[in-house]
Amino acid sequence: MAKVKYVPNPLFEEEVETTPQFKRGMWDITDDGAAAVRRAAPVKTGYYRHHVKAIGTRIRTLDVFWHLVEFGSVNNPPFAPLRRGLRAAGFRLVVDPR
Amino acid sequence: MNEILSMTGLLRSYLLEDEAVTAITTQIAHSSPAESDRVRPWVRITQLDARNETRDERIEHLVNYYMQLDCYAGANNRFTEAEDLNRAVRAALVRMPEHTLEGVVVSSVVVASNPAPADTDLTPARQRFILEVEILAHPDGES
Repeated sequence: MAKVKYVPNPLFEEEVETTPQFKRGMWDITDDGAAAVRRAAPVKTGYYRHHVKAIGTRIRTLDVFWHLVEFGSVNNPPFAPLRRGLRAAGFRLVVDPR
Repeated sequence: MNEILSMTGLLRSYLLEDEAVTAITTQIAHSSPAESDRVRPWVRITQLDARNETRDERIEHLVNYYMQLDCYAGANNRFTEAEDLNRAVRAALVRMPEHTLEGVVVSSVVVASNPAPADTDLTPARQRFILEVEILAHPDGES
């Protein structure tokens, strides 16, 4: 019997995420996630809602004041559309500042 | 009997009974204090969601409360003040399932995230910790 040595690949996830199969599979998921975020977004002006985009394998909000909408401030309640929307769709928010 | 708990009210009264929290502040409410009252640290409690976890949509019993607690520094704007308040509130919340509370059973408290972005709506930006927790609870004495 041959011996097999297991060598963990620390770049495994990174490598998988660059494959076309992974990206294609993620498109539908990010579309669903972005739709859920839009549903949870405040509609006072609609600006925030119209600036939530599914771009490739990421969900992005292009509103520069997204943090005020999401986490609130002393003068604003936290609407948390990213957290509530993604949670409702079965995901969890990981903030990527890029 | 209304089975839907007021989690904001429950958290407020629970935290007001915690000595470590009240040693720092008693300003705990669902809204920010008036401008003149922002001298001492404060905690703002917001309910983001309350999802029914009972596996029967006709029964509202076990609910997962998704809460945000903002822990602000006082007028001196010291980071350590906001941090101490955050630590006291977080420790109190994590101990919540061990306590016997009137009319409610808290099954679990999970801290979902705890970032520390300063609040830039105030000048200078006020030190703040955001404590995001999921609290699984149901009314006491129910089947």
